[in-house]
Amino acid sequence: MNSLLNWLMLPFRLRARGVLGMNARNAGFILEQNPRALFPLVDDKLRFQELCQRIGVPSPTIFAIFVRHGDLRHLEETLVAAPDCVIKPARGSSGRGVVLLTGKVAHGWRRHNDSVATLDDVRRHVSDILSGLYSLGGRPDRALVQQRLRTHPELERISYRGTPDVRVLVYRGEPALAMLRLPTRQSGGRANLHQGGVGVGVDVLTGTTTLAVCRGRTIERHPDTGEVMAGQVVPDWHAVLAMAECVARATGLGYVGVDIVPEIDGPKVLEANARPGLAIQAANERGLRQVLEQIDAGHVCRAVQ
Amino acid sequence: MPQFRPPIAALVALALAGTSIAVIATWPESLGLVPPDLPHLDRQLVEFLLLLPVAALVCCVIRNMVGLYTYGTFAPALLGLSFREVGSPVGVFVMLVVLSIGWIIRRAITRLNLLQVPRSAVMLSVVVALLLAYILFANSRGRSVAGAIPFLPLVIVTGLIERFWTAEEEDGTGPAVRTMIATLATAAAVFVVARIAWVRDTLMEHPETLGIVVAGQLLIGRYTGYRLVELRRFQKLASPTLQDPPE
Repeated sequence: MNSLLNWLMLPFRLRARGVLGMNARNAGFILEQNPRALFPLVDDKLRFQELCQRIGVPSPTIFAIFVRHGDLRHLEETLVAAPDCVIKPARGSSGRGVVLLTGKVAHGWRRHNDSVATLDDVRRHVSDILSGLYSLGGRPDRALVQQRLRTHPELERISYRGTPDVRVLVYRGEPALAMLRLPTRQSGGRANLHQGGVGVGVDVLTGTTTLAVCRGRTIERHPDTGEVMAGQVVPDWHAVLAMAECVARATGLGYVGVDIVPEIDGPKVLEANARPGLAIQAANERGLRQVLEQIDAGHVCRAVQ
Repeated sequence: MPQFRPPIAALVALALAGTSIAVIATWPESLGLVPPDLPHLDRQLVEFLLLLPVAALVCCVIRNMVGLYTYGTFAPALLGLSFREVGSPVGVFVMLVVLSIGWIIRRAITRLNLLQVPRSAVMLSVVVALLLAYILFANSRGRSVAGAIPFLPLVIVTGLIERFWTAEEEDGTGPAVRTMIATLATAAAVFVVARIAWVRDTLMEHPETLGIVVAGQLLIGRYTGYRLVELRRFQKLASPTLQDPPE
């Protein structure tokens, strides 16, 4: 009886904590702050890359673009010239269809998980990308061969392979919440939370990590590396924040997640997301709606520059 | 700053539902919009068409109020309505068999390195062959299934196999099976609603009930509360041990 009452009260308690639900996010923030016409700017990684170049924000180099199946005949020379790269669909989502190659081996290329992909494997994958298997709405797509970013050794140390990144949620030009996303063995090199990655809350003021969640549970240590997740400092935090604000302003989106990879020679922007997920709340143990309402009210918790 | 907006969607919903109810109350006898002497096949078609928005409404409830994720937005609606035509546990069983065998063949076909559209075409042919085999088998045992099977939406079944396979490759077997179960559960919910005689009779006698259905869709379209699965997902954020956020 008591637990039933608890469940019935849950929505009200969540509301009081300012937790943002999916429906409220879609109707209240995405529809309101993000004009549909601006979506291709961030959904299409090629256009996003152009945008970054125009505003002078460092982003990964694109080695080659595959548009038609006929282009596949250049695949081998591309991969021989750049054996350390990321292959991804231009219009993919949540890390789908992304393959990380780390170097050339005898019969193909080494993947991030030490398995070997032959030229045929890669060709089939690129062909699937071109057919739109991994793309929003299943439309035919282009495949990019992109520079693989090297995360700062400080983050590399606490992560498991793949490329960890920092997601900064920017609302109307102000950083609202931030989270470090670390790949795990289970997430297959991807930093996306719903694939089993670790989300670590980051204090926007200081860039220090607070607590971590993985598969919906709070964790103290990384499941694969055993490193303590709290109290780590994201390298170049102020540069990361400035970059996120700059990119958000350039996209024109009022509610946007900017993914940034801190490298040893400064942060680089990986991509932006017009429909950033809600797991960032769990990683920060903080209701997003409440933060957004504070920003609406003119409360800005800006880091001391 | 969240400004005050007149709840236009809610007002439109109210007007639609009000009109429908007024029409039904004024002429409680059927207006005969669907003539009773319609040929049987036409009647079936009209019934299917009228049930489609209801099935879509069920999908809205499950997506936006319960929060289940399914393969395709309205695939479960069509699937659920086709269960109704198939009408027997046999039909459901046949579909599950087709899905499983199709999935095995889909795994085998990967090695052929086919382009996506031809690959889907091959899968469609495989699904057709499987169904044909079943029909001929049933026929040889002296049973006719032709009345039921043609309603199985083959293209949707093929799409389900393809999406299940992709999800399995991308996110692992667990999440892929969970989404498949959610899809079939949604289809089952659609089936249950479409089976209620009262729903069908009301729609056939008073097609103007569609106004109420659309009103429901409009209202869910403006529902910004939590989804049922989110209560579980964010449960921890409501725990009293959590310190109150700084002002």
